[in-house]
Amino acid sequence: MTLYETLVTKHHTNPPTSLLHPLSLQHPPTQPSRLAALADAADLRGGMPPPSAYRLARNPWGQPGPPRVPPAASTGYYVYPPLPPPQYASPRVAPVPIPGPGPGPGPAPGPYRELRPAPPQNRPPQQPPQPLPPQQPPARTQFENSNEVGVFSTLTNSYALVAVGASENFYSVFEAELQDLVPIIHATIAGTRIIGRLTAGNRKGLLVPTSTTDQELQHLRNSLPDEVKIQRIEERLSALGNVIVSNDHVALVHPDLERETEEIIADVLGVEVFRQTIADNVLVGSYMALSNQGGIVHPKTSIQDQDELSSLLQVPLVAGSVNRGSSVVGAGMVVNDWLAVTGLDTTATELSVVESVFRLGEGQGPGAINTSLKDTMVESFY
Amino acid sequence: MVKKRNRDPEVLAEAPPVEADDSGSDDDVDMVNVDFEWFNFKPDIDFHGLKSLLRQLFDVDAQLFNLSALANLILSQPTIGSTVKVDGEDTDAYAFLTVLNVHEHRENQAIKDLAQYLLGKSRSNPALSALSNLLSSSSSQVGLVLAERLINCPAEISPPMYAMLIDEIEAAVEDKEPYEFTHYLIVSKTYHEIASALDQEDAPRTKKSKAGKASKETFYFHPEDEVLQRHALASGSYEYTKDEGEGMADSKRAFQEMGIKPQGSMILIEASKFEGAVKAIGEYLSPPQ
Repeated sequence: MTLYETLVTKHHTNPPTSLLHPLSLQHPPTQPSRLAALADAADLRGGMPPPSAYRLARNPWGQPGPPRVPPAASTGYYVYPPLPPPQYASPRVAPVPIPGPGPGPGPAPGPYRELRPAPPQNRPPQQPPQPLPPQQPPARTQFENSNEVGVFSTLTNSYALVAVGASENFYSVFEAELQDLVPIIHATIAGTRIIGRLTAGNRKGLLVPTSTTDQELQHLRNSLPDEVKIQRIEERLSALGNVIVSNDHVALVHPDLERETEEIIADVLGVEVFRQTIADNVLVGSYMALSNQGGIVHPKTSIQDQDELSSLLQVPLVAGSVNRGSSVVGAGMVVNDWLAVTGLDTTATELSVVESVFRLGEGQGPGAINTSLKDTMVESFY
Repeated sequence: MVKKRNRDPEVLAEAPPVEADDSGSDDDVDMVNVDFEWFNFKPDIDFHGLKSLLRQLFDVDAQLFNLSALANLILSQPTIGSTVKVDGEDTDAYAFLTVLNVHEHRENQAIKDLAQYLLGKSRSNPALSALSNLLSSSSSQVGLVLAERLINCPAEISPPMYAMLIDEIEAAVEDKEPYEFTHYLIVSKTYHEIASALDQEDAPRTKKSKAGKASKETFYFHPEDEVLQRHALASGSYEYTKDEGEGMADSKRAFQEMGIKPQGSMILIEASKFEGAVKAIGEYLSPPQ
């Protein structure tokens, strides 16, 4: 969207081309109106362009957008003498289509492609969140006696990847919770089942390592929703799930990731990218489970680190474990905004931490505001 | 343009002279000194390590059992059996050995599944017929010995574990604990070597290549099993239920000519002969001086 889009309201019959460039005023109006003729006679306008009113569109922040600054003078050499300076600056804008019946053309493309969204403080106020599917308590399962659910699956708000394997039990847990909501895709990456550690994704995109075969890529492309982008990354650190952790807004990545990879992550996942460590460990994807609601980090993460990460991510974080004391929380569970799946060994205490930090389960959804959450809300008003 | 690094010592002026490579001596091999220590099971530390060792012990069939429950059962008798660690007590175990009373825990679902599985496997091999009678009768007290270690752990760590197990059982029996066994059943793993099928795929298939494919020689993951077998009432191997077929052996070839096809093995020893068998292990696998 062009924030500085300017609307012009016509008050005269002059062709709109006269607005475009002051120099074009030399052309006489094709059919001067009576008002214009009178004004000419009284020399009221003195060679100025005909009157017009400009209205700047309000940008989403609520303030009128600033007038566009004329482009800076070029430092190159001119063969021809420079053009006379414009008499006034503001009409030097792109031709504005006369609003007519029917939908107007789309916003003009910006001068450069915006790779990253604005930093949080500059972001427009968030749209009211789309209603989430009903919140579900965390599910527990295992993949062929392995509790490392996050190794064999990837879960986002718009799709789920599940390893091809003998264990239909594993698949059925996802099917029971996600059926009809998002597609559940049986996949392999480079012929292996450890797809959760090799891929990284969120609602908007999916990143797969360079070892992914063409057939696998095609299968994923065919199975994913059309609006989800998929990209194969040439990255030395090919276990993308171990080196990238992301929700729909922010991604934390391994400090040694390639510069190009960082840009692809920002582009495909539509997130802001930060190079970080978790509890001094570079494998951020292994040691953190993250959704748009909250996150769990390695149990030995210091309070300062938690605060720093939390302010980057803008979600509450808690240091905890899954699968009965396992510190690889990223590999031990998968989570999206309404469902978490952990290993079968996860204790009741660990489950309740998962449930509360990711706001899962009954009594945490938006419907509960008037009941169980009321007490805490009233407190915070004072 | 990136240039290839030149590793040829002739070109590098400052390169140190290459030492004569006498492959006969082991002096230039990097030695790592590791101290193995023996500990009792520690329930709050050993769960994960124990579980992954159990998964290794049962190989592909591990998915048939609830290993978490089995690990819990093993940890519930911390005075019986031992773990081997190298970085102090609060780290993961490199090896473990324990014994479970199949009769005593017959109501435990994990043991029930395991006993059922072993019974089924013992029927598949005629050499194990003695075992199938024993497991189905309720009067016998079978001690199920489970032992596993990381694959590159030296075998010398196992004789002390067996020796300690005998002492621990003795002490437990004195305390009237249910460890008075009539038989010991050792569950372990062996393997066959299988020639890679990859080379043959291009070449025309002949009868000869098929014949020389699988040698029937059995190799042991645990060398002590070979000794135990000589004192056994019955011993034999069995195929895994979840066998992954021919291709799997090829995938475990790891720079060798032959692939590895693992299989389960069971060794049944009478309680009276167990002590002698353990002594024989100690002689066979004495640590290097």
